[in-house]
Amino acid sequence: MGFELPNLNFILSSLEVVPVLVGPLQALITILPGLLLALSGMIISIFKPRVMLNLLKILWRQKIGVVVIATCVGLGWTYLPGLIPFAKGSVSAKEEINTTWDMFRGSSLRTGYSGSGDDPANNTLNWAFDTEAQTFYSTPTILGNRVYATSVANIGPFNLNGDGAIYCLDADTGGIVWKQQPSGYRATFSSPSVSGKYLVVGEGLHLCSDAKIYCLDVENEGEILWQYTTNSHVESSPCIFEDKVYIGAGDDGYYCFKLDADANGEPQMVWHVDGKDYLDAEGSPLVIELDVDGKKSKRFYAGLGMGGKTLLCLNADTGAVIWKKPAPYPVFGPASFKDGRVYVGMGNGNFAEDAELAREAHRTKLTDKGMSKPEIEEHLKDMQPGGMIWCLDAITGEIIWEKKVPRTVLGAVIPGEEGLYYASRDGHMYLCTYDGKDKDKFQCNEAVVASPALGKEHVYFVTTGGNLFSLTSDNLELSWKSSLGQGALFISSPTLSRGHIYIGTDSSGLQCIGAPEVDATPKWTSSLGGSGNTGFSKATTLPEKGKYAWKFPVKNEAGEIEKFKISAPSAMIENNLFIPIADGARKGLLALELGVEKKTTKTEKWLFATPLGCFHSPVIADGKILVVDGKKGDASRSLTCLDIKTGQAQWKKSFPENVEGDLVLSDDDLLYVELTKGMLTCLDLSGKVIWQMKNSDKGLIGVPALYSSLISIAIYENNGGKALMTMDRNTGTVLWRKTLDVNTSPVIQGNIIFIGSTNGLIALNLTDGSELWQADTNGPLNIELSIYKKKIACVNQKNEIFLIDQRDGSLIKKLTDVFQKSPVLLCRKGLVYQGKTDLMAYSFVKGENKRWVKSKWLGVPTSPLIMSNSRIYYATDKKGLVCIKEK
Amino acid sequence: MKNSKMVIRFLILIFLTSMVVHALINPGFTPINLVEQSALIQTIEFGTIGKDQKVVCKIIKTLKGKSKAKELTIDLNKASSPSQAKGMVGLIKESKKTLAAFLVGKFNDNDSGEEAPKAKAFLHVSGKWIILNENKGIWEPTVISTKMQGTWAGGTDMLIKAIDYILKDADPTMPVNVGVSWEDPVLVSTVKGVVSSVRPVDLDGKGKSHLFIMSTLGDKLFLHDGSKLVDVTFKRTLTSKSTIAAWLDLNGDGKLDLVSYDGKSYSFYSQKADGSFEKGNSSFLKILGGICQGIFAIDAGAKDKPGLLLATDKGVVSYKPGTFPLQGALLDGGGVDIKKFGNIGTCLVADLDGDHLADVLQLFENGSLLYKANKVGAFEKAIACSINLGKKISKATVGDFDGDGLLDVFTTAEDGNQIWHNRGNNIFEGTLHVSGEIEYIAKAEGVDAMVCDVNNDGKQDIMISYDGYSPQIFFNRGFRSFGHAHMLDLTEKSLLAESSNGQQTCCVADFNNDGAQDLIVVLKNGEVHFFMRESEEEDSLVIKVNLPVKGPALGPITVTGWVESGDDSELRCLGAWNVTPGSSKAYVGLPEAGSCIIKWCLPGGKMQSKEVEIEDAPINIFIK
Repeated sequence: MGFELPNLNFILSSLEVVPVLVGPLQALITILPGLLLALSGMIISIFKPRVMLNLLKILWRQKIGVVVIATCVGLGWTYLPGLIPFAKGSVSAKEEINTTWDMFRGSSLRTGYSGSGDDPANNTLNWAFDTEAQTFYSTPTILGNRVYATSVANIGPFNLNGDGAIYCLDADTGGIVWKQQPSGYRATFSSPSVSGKYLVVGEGLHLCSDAKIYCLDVENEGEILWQYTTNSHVESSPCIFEDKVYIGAGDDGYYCFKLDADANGEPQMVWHVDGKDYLDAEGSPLVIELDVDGKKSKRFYAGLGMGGKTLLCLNADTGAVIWKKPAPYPVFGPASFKDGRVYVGMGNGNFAEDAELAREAHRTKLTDKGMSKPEIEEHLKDMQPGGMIWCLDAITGEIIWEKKVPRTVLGAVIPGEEGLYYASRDGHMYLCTYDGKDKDKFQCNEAVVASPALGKEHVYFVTTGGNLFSLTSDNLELSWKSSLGQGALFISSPTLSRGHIYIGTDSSGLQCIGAPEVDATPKWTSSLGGSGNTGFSKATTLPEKGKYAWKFPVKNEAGEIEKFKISAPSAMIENNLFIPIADGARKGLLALELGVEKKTTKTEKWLFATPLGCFHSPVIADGKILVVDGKKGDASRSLTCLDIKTGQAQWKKSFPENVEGDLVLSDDDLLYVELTKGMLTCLDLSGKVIWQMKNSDKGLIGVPALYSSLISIAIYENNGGKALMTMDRNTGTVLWRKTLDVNTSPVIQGNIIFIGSTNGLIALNLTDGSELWQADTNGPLNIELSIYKKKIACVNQKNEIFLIDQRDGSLIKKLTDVFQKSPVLLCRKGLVYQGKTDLMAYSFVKGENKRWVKSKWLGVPTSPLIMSNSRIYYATDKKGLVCIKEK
Repeated sequence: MKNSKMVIRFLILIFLTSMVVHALINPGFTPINLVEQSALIQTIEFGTIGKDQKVVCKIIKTLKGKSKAKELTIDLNKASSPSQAKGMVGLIKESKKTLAAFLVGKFNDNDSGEEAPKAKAFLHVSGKWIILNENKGIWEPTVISTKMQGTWAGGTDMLIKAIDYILKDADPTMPVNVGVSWEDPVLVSTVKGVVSSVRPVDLDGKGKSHLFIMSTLGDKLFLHDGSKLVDVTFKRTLTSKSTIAAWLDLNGDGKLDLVSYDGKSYSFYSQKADGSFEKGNSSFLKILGGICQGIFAIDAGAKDKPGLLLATDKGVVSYKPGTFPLQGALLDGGGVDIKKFGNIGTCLVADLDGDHLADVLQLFENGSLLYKANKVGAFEKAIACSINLGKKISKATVGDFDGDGLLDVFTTAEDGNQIWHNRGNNIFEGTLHVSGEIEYIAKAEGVDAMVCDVNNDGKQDIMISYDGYSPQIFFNRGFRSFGHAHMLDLTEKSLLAESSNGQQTCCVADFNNDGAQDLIVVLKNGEVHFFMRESEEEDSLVIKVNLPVKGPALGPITVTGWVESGDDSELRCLGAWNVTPGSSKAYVGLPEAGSCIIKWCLPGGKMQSKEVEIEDAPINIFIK
């Protein structure tokens, strides 16, 4: 008695979207019991034939009982798992939200981001739903704290269509809220769309010929409101628009139904475009309303796959053709929309087969049909590897531009701030401009077929091999990478919400990954927020244009305006500004609380008055503010520690008159300051000296830079020269010292020190001080450097700003006509600097510099700029402290 | 032959007229986008069209880009159809040697429907757009583009100015919508009688406006108390009943008085020190006869007391200040035959020729008489002027719609509207047909009009009220191109359904002193509705320039607002306002905080200026 393994090739077919690929392991598991039984029977027969004979005699005598038992075992094996009540994880109450996820990827931008929560900063696995189902091809839909997805299970040689279910899980725990498993529901690729109480989803993989469309009530445990049987598979994900839903049904064309069933509970079809005219209706539709010549026009956009190769625009109310654009490739990708334009990807190959495999599968199909070889080659000549991105006018269908890609683009083309994001089977994630010009790309070495997800500052995508990548969205730099487990068919797209990524996997269930970076107790560690920092707090973006918001101080009750002189940048923690006032009617450190709801309100909380005034930015940590009063040359200066809430002094140390007064705080709350000329002192926040190191008699240059356990400082050498040295900041032990004609404070990023010198900008290895590169800046640099990610901004003595690539010292941009006397404000989108009359901004996205705010009337800046919550704060000679907001 | 030429001309005229474009503003492609996307922008002058249908154009100036060429050739044979070619010929001929704008580049928005394999150009001539392709150095026009009217529907000369502004200004703006909206209306009162006018008046000289309603059954005064408009007529003891009225300090006591005409006789209401009004001697004027069409204050050169002008159907009578009864004299009509001018209308008193002296424009149905001031309070003989009022009920107002510092005129009448662009040298050109959406969206049967700045962007907008429709506001996009302010349309926004049956009159002014101009609508049934403009703090930046009652000028002067534009801190004029003590002020709106220079010239004096910084609240200035 033997057992033949089924021919797996029988299961494969030339299917276009999701061929039913049964892995060898899956097939083996299905038939394992039988296999073991047969094997053991064979062994006994060979070695103990008499035993086998006696056994058979017993079985024959008890044949009725044997049959009954075998039947019960068989039925139990098949159906028992379904009878066991599914285990419920913890489930919290449903959050009330007023958003929808009414189409594939959540909106017409196809970002896959619900809009809630920050980008996950790591790949921590929060939970995995893998007990009931291990395979999820569909893309999770997230609304509030609910995840909706369809599953895949039990695909085997005897169950080619497999089984599936529609799940609603708790987004925070993975607990099952409800599960809907309609009778006969098959393994499914279609992703649910949800609007209000309605959830609509398709059914089946490519072999289905009678797949259904389901409409469920999410507020009533997924109760089926209606269902409709098509004549094909429904791998497309629906689009809900107003009171209707639109979905593709493979060879059966595209459908439009009303969301509500009729009085008899039957679905109400609004229109149907037949598959014979609309072959391979696999795309996930997009429905939007446009203004066309002053009238509203509802438009339906979707692609046709292998048999159709078209992008369609239909009247969403009637299904009538508005325009059809024949395409050179199958159009499986979901169209996205922004600013009057539609973007879509296409190409040869599908979710399971690259172009070559798909072509061979098609060859087999045509051969089976009896075509001759020359005819077959003619059919296959257009099936070479290749893909394309289209940008079309949404109203006219005019192709504005097309962009070739080496292999197919099956996922969405996402319009983002920086440009268009798309991934290809060629193993790259791409970023191009809205004109279709290449901007950046990331090589991941594995095919990508799922859609990326675009968050606030990151883009996420998964390869077919199950590697999930997080890249920075401005320049596609790797943030982190994670493996989603074993498998060969990762076609679920990542969904971003609540600070996590939700994604289906091939064999590890549905996973919730990652968490946002948690802000520790906010700190302000140095002037402008930290070494090399440009004064802006996290999660703030530079507005495209600024406009005046308010000034401080304002008129007092007597109608007079107090004069303040401010020369150092303020410090900012949450909505509190700490302003160092150098001179005026009041001098010292002023705490100003800014209104949160009404942003123009400003409340003075306290003033730490000091007759010498404050000329240096304070540092802030752990509820304490440390500030040095006076300026170099003033007698009776102090380093004072204040309570952040009350401004009351907690301790005080005298401060020398012959040093500057800059402070630096480390992440572990150690303060580094030149307490005696030429001697760097490390203190804790209670004022206790941890160590002191005499570095020179002539003093330090600028501010120390910190990185991990190291500290770098520039000093005047006793022989009149200058040097840069790096020490262990916990002990003060000098690691290396290098003579260097430096002009600015050092700045550290990674294990590289950057410093301005007489000869330009220099990059050195932090560990040994060896020079990595030197960038020519047309003369000495004498203003502190600004650094953000891969860019460094420096200002030379000729009023020129050099924007340098940190990686190799190459010049990115040079700006002239600059009147910058303090560090440039450099951030993600660009930089802000003082032009001849106004504040100017250079945009990295647009590559141009323009007036950023009309600021001439505010006076000449007297302090560097800081930015928080998209507002810039700085002092001027005319107005005191000024706030500029987004225009 | 002559007949066939006439027929051809007629057909061309019909064709040109039929090409009047009803294009809505294209928010996705404004002149700013056009300028940004153009590699080359030039002004050109057409030569004569040759028999070969080619025309050589002289390049006058290159505004953007570089080109060594001194001329370019346009081949009209390449037009997409003979009718297109005829249309283009008509436009070129109509331009009559005025400049056209020529913009070359690769554009994202065009109506050719094809990708541009080569350079493409837009030509703007006689207010219309033509699209051209280049072929071996020759420009081949294809079509007269209606779609591009959504980008700019205005005069070619104005487009050239707009391009110049866009290229020079560091932050040019060209709004595509008005950007503001009304709050829900509040019923203020119901006024009996026929209401002929509602206007703001600064009775107390503090920069805050009362609402003055002229009614045949009793004038009304309202003042906003911080939360609503309150009727202060009784408190102020004003008992006038007016069909026409004017506010001026006739007795020189430093308080605004009212001169009122009730349809038969004139009355004088003197404002006392406590703000109440007392009816004065009815014989305060020696009347020369005639039916009153308007009453105006004029600076007569006397200290502390203004003169008075009465517009009548007999002519304009000027009254010098002095003891009552004031003696008047008819201004010299210059012998102009006014019979063909038709019915007489009102007057406008404003500096129309830019010499800093207020002139008088007497308007008729089919023409006007301009009495040019040659010194303070003295006028030359009238000369005929091209401005005409239109038929029957009509109103006129002055404003500066192109921001050149010269006051233009807007007229509305039963048979339609007109924007009279002041070209200088007493030449006024009717330009409604090249002024944007106002041409085809504004209706006839206008009963009142007012110039305002409803969105505080420094550009002067126009409000029209109608006998049979909802009032309309047209916001100025800049350079005399107007868009319909849909967001302020009372019918479209379902704010006051009854207004669609027409009004008696309307006005736009800031009554609650928040810096945003509000709307007053007086319906036919006498209901007075107040629409406060919605505003956040930053929307209400405005410099209101006032003339004090007993100040350096006792009649209208022109005040202009200027802002810095461009890298060289060149000043750009926002516009000119006609300012009269107590009655009208300059309302210089600013889209963002900053400094603005206000300029004015007192009669007989030198140009003065004042730099004003505006931060976060409206500012009132009184000229001293």
